[in-house]
Amino acid sequence: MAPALMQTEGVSKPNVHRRIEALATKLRRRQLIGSRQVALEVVRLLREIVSSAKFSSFKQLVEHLDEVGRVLQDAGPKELVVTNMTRRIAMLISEEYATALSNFLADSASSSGGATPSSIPPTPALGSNLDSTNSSFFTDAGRTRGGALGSIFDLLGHKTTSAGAISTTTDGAASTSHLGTPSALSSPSSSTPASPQTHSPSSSTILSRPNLPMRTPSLVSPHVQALLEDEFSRKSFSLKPLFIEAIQELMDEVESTYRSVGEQSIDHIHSGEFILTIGQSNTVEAFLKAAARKRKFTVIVAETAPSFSGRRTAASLSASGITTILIPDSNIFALLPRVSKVLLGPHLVLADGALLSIAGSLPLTLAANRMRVPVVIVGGMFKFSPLYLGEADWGMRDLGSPEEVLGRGEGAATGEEEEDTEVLNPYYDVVPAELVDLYITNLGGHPSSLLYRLLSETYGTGSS
Amino acid sequence: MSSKAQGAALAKEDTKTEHPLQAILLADAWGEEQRWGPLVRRKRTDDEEYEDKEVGGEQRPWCLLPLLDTPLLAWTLECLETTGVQQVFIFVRDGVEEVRAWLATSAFSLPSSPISIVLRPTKASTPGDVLREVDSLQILAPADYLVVQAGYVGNVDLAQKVKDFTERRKKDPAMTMSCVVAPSESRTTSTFAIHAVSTDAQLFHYEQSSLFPSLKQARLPREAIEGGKEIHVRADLESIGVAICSVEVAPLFTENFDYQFFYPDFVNGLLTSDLLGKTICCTIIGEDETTETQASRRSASWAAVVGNTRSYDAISKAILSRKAYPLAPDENMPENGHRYEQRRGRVYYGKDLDLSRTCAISSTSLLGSSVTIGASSTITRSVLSNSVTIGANCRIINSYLFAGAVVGDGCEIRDSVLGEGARIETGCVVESGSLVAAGAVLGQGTKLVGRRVSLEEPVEGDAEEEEGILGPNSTGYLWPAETEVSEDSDDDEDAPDSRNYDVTRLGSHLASLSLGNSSSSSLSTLSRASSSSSLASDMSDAEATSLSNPTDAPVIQGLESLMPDAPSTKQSDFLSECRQSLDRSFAEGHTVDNAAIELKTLRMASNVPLGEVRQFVIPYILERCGEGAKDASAVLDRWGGLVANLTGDQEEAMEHCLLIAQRWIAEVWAKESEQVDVRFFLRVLKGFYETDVVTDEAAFGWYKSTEARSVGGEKGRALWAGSKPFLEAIAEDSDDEDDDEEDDEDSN
Repeated sequence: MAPALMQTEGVSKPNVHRRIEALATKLRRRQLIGSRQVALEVVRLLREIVSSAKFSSFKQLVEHLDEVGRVLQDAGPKELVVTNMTRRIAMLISEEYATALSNFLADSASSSGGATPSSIPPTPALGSNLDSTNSSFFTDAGRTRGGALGSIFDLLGHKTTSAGAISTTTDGAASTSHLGTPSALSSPSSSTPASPQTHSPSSSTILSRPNLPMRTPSLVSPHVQALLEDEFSRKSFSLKPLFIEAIQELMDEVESTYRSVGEQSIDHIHSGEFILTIGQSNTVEAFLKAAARKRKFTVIVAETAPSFSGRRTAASLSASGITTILIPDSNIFALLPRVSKVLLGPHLVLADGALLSIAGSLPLTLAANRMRVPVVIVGGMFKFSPLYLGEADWGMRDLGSPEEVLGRGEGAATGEEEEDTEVLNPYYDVVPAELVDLYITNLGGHPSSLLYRLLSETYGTGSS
Repeated sequence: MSSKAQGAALAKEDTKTEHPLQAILLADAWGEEQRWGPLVRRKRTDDEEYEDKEVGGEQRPWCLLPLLDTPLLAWTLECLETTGVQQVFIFVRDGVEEVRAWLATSAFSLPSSPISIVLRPTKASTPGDVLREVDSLQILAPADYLVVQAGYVGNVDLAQKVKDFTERRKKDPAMTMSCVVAPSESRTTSTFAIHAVSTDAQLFHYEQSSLFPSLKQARLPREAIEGGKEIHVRADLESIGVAICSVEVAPLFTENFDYQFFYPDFVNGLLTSDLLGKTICCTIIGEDETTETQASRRSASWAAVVGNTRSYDAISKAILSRKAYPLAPDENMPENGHRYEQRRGRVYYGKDLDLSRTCAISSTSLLGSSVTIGASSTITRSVLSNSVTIGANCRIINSYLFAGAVVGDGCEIRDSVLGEGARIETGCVVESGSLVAAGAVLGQGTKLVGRRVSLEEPVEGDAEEEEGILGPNSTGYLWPAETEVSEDSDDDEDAPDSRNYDVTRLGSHLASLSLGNSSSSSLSTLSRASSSSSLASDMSDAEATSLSNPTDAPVIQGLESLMPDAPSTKQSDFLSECRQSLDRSFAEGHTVDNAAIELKTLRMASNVPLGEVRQFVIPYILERCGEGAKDASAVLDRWGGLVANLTGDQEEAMEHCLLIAQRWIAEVWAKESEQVDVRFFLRVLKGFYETDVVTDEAAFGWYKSTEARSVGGEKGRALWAGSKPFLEAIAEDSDDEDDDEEDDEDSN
């Protein structure tokens, strides 16, 4: 079966299409796994697509990216990071475009209005313009945030909440306050009440895509403005360097996830703590290792059958000088009362704050919830998906080969081929949001009740 | 396309030092297609060639048989492409046009496909022929490559295995081939093999046996256990249709034109030959995992090869239970095929299903798109391809329904395969491994038990219409029951045991045939259990007769192995084959040279020392002397050379010959003629002397040896004494013709 032809195929050259297909094949064959790897590959590919694309209007480019994203997501339906990245990029370049467009319109308006052609300082003008119309895209954290929310964000140690790394203004107050994280941790109940689903119960996604044509202040008549917009759109080709720069910044963000998450570890891990983790996550390892430079604490690692990835984690942690205890999964419940924190590195965080995390996470978090042990999630922003998991999406658990659980020959006790034992080997558990107390990303810590804000800042609000 | 792609590939190879990974794909089933009856193209009789008109069944070559709605060839190509094979040569004997047409429409021929495929029509009738063709064509880069049987399915990183093999070859240049084997999960073939493998996976001994009658003893060559190595003797390994070959393999096939298959011809040939000095190793899937790489963190290796209906069944189930992950219906199907939706209980749904609310689909099933299922029907462990329609109140159990099959109300389909568009009317029962050809119609109330129905007439011709089996308005012919048809088995056994056939058929419910795990002692526990008591009693009868007269002249192969004191199957095989060979030579008057070559081949094949051959051949020739002394001259004149070939110009061996002859005349011949036939012995001596079996020195050596005086008791001693004049004569005058003199003396 030939891959479905894309409607916007002409935008990319054949050699780029080959790369798209190669990545799709890799995703399909599960040769590329792991959220970070996938995210990097997708961003890298989209950067190349943008840099080599030929498009007659900006809309066409965004549609093309959207289509590529769909092709890739179809190829790897279990790596939702693909969608995260394509949405982020579509949003970032739309922002760039909107900036330039309003700039252009302001210019032409001022020139048509007979004003002096001296250029207005672009950023402030743009910021104020858009704040009134489409605030979600250009939220400047300090300005739009309500007082109460702001204080929580501050408490959780936010550095900057502006999603697009392009924000030129930094809110000094928000970025520097790191106090009081323990207080958030010690009151897990504060995170539970708001069910994010109530925010958009109708759609399965918070947004479909950032809406493209930005409405700009009507300095000129609508007709003239539409013409101007069209003209600008055709010339948007010249904005490519800006687009590429934006994508590059996203790439840097993904690449530096470990470091930026690790930097916050001091605020969350204290001397003498017992921390329990499960499975193997590079982010968790980086987080713990960063903290170990200043603090002494003990990590308990569950071995995580049947992949036994916990064993690798334990080996890696003790190699870098952290006191590590490796336990079988069956001992989790018994040891939890001794533990002060459960640390998880999920595969993906869904829009409602639920996690897709390695099998064994659900019983662990349930037990932790019962014992009032806080559950802390670490992961880069790229893992936060704007999607919800459907009810019947059994396959998302990513059932692997039963041979790992019951090896060859071990199950062949009966020669009769009556129904043999059904062996299941799901790789992921779905952990509901109410079991999680804190999400630590490269942007800071967030309770699940505020995830919707984080997402709308990251991906924009599609429903408006 | 083929030549162009090939040319381009060759040009690329010249410039690169890193050779692309190549694979030879054998698209034919080498006889297994016969097991699929009317569902695939196949030879109608053993003698016929693959000519389109004479080919029976559907016009679909075996390699395009759908497995979970995707051709077998696509599965194999997908597995190869995933593992990183860059170039594949598909050798197709049958159905070249169909394969070409399919390939042209498949995703593998798209320009974006990373794999380059060359389709080569061939006349080869065995893998050996293909390898010889490969050797003569010189199409391979000078690097290790894969030979893969169509029907291979697995998630094994073969490229890595090839790399490991290449590394190993650097250390041990004698390493020629690696057999890729896996511990068998369920018995799907009619043979089993014994592998003697060292801990570093070198193969020392290989023996293959059918399940019925099965091998009871295996004999390891002494070399295998020399040097104190640890050897595992395992009976649970089976080939998965893949061999990693070094460049030497193809030339070896050319040199040894009688090698037909990798197993056992090639493997045994290499292992038993001291001349070639080649070694073989095994790649055991699922056991030699060395370093867990990050990439393979989630896949336990699994691989198998589809052959008969039973392995087809086993592999379908294995894929549905996700053993081939990430090759699973909801993950990645070959050719970027459409994904299925996974439900609880290993059930997979296609698109646009029309399922009745009261139907039940349970456990390990797959429904293709646009499948319709009526009320209260149950589907269990079955695969329904696209657009299959099932009526109400049906039971479909463990069956495979190809695209467009229609099943009426109230039918029961169990352990069977229905071809494309086959129609089963109301109230039919189809069970126990029945095969219904594409487009056939079974009328109302038909009951098929292990039968085959096709649109073409059965080739045997003598199959009389069995009235009443096919219901009214049926189209199609009932073929004779499968077991009645003479089977084209790959080995030349005289009478293949029908149980071998049964165990490899879909829907046979033999008691557990599972083999014990990896130890030689488990060989004795090979189960002989069979389904019917009558077969079992047949078996014991045969055993009894073979025990009562163990020296019966015509040695029935296989029975030998059942005799408790048979020295070893190998030797008895050898003796019986030797006898047949000599019988032929004598009857058809072969030249001595030809007969000698044949003996030599036999000897090499079963690794028998020369002495034992002499033990057998000399009495055989002497038996042929009819009336003893009278005919001895003529017979020895004609056949003495054969014995001479067995001495290897060694004096000891020559003396041995004389001892054998002496003993035989003293013990066997004397029994019949009731007297010591010194004259016969002298004739034999003379014959041996004249045909250069023995030299002067050897004759004297024999005469002087103490054994010559003691062999054969009194009679033997008489012979020894009687030979004195002859020896004196040759001693006196070795270059004179003293024959006449001798004769005179004898007659006195």
